[in-house]
Amino acid sequence: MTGEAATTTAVCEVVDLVKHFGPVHAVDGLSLRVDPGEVVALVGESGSGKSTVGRLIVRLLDPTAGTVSLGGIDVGTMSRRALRPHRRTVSIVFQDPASSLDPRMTVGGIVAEPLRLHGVARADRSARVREVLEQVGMRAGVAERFPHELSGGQRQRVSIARALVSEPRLLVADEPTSALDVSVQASVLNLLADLQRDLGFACLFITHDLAAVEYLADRVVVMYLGKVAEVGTREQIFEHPRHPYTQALLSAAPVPDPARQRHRTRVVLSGELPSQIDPPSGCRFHTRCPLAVERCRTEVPALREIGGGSVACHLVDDDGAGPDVRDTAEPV
Amino acid sequence: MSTVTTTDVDPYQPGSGTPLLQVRDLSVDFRTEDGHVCAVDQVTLAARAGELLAVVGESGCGKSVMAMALSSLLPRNATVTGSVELAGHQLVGASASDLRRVRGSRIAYIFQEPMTSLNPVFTVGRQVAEVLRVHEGMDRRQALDRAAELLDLVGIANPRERLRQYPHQLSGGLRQRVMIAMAVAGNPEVLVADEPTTALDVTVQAGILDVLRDLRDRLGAAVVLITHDLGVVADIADRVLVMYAGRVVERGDVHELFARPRHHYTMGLLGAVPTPRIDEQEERLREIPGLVPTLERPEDRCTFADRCPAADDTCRTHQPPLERAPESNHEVACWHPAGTEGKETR
Repeated sequence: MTGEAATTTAVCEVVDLVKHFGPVHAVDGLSLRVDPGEVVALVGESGSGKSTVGRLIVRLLDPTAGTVSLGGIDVGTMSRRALRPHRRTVSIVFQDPASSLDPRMTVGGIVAEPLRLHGVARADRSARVREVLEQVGMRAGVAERFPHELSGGQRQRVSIARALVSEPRLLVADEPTSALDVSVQASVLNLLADLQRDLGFACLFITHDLAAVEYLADRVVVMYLGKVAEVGTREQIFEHPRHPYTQALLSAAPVPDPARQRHRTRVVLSGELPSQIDPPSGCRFHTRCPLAVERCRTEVPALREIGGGSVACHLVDDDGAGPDVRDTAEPV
Repeated sequence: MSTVTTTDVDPYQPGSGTPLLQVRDLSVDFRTEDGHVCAVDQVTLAARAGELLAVVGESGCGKSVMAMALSSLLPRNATVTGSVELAGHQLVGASASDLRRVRGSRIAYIFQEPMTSLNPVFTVGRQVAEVLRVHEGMDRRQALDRAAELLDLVGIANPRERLRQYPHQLSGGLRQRVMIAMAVAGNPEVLVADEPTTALDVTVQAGILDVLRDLRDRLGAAVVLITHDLGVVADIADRVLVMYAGRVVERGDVHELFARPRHHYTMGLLGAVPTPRIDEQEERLREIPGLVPTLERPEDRCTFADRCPAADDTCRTHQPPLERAPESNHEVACWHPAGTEGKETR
């Protein structure tokens, strides 16, 4: 990775991205950028649209509106043929390795497939496959095996190897550890952290697991109902969250330490995630926000840059000061 | 079902009250096409009124099978041995009609997947009322009134309106609340919740955990919570039982067990969870090498030995008994329990 020299061109930048599935507003005007070598976590609950964003970035889906740029080139509206050379620069790892690996192909075939599609000669392919399998901590012999012969953690390693074989500049990891047991989760998170550090690719880490975010991410983008609620560095988000939703989300995730957990203030949000077919007016979080005022119901808050991060909340003023929903909550 | 006199309390928890549910040496063996699988091996536990017992472990450790064996919910190819006493009634080997009388009214279950556990073609009201009509002998009107009260109890707003809706019209969190309402409809003394929040988002999970807490405190139910999530355990459990490969490897008071884990598996689990970093130190997550083994029959060895950093020949040839851990107030099944090099007391 070239490091500082490349700071001007984002590996990936999406601007005002919109994706509607019929009446469903999955993503509704979302902007974010990922710089070279950076790990950006895209956090949100189910229905927030975070996975759709990942699929739009790798062009598994076509955007309804807005732009998707990879390395400064707008790929959002490119034809499939024109897109081909750019596909190499971005890869995706899915949540469930059991359903994202072809059961009839060997591990070697699976990992080599992206290279085959990019026209790499057979002899070069097998050398590269061996190399990348070693990088994800698997023995070369595994190339002859089939996915069903592997454990969940091993299968996810194969998915990661397949994603990295073409040396992408951006890895989109969509809930890569959610289907795994804790101990296996740990080894996959460690592996991603090691590979990212050694190979220097940028990563968009899509997850609902805040603990994993704090472990891996440099920057965090918090999504709610198709929009960005807050963006900040890891420290900003975890130590000084400004958006009431971020504050509620952090307070709801229990920490595995009874002594600390039982002294935390926890915000229980009223109601459930509203429908994406008819999203609330004004601030989309107002129906569940304990602090919402009249303005929140009518006026859509803009995502404003404040002190190195961005927040979309009327209650946060321009110097970043604002209320904390955790002050309104009863201690557990 | 035979009525037995329960004189002894949980031998491992001296000084505490009489348990509602007393499980002794419960084992479950499955016959499959590929041979035998010993899923649960000699589990002993007790659940008391007003107490939440968390059963923790990874997939394949036998925790769900153990939970289902409590009231014989397992398929025919399962052989259950040992003893499950529920308020004096022996449930292992009880007849189908005896079990029907116990299920729902004395012991009830909440499962992980509220979508597959609710019938999609009936309204919520009809499904909740069915429980009341069967177990409490209510007529339709009474049952619907009580159903509305139950939905209110589990924190569902506008219960009357919800009763008229179908499961697909509800969100995951609401469906799980309906499942809980159905489970508590017969006033069970023991509530078994098998990963009740695993399919839910954290903000929704927080609400469901509050409901469970409330049922424990207000109704005095004994809650057995099956989970893999140590955050949930830390939040809500009174006592914890850690299972590995069908056996109980460690158990005790939640504060004690998190502060002074003695089994290397428990320590591995705790170390594997990414926790908010208190300092900026780049700490790697702890990995547990290898996989949970599938055992054909009980083995006279520590089943964790192959993955354990402290294992020696004794571990591979003799099963460690569950006994009081050194310098602690809880039990551990380990020949070489971790000492004070574990987590510091907070």
